Amino acid sequence: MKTGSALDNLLNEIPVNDRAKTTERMRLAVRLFDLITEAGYSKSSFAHLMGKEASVITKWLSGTHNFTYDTLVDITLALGVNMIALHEERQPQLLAVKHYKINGAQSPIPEMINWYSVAGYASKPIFKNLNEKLWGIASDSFTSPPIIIIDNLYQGIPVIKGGKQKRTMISTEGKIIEESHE
Amino acid sequence: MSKKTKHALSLVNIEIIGQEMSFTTDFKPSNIFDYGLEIESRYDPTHKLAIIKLLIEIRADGFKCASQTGQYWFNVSAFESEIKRGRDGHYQIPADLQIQMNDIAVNTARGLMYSQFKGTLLHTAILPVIDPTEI
Repeated sequence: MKTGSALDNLLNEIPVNDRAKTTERMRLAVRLFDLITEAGYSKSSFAHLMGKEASVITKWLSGTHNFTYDTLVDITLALGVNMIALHEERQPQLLAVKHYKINGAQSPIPEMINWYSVAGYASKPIFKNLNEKLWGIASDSFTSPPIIIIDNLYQGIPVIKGGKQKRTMISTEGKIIEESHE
Repeated sequence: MSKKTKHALSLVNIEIIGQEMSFTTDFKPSNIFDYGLEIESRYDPTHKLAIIKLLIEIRADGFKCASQTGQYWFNVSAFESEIKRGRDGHYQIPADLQIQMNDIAVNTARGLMYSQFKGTLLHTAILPVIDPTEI
């Protein structure tokens, strides 16, 4: 035989409709309290806003008041929310909104501006670094790739200063024009 | 000299709400960008979660070329006693805790953007390091 607690038995005696009504009134009262506090009102200031006595607001928030639709409309208008807000789950409270701007930030990644190729090697990128210097990598060796500094552009031809005293001049098409050792 | 407190925060969820990139036909790859950040802080007392919503806008030559919006959820149950509710009903998170959460959110967003933009025209758009106390 199934036996319940005394509280369960008492609750079971309450008709389902009445329980649902009580639950909804309590939920609405809690939601109203949240909306009022989120809008920055105390009970007394909200009472003043609504043109009511503070005791009326206390009754509204007690969870026993049977609101008329008109009263709910008045409340939502005063709080600047719509009727749907009364039925929504409580939203995480907004604490702060801040704005921050960074203008003209230069990327730490050098800008790749072109490709070049030297006879016998694959194409390699030419970068522009933070100081507006052009640079690239001279060989395919990943163990010790000499970084080349491109000094300037001479009549459209990049003049490349290589590692180990090697100076190479290549055309924009990638052909070696002149190679010298300093 | 002020004493700085480090809170043992846990980032429990990262939610990328949206990301967009748009380029004009004459867009040229650049490595100079303007960044605009909007940081919205929320507190969910029911679940003891603090939420940082971070919108980052990237502009090149005044033109908006990308944006990313993400939400970063922090479990602050260990700091419940430090989060006070004012007389106006609003919660207040201690400033150092807020700074720490902003810092984590911004730095995580930097990594997310870097991985998303890699291989695109915005691969050089890396959010600069920001002093979290300035945010």
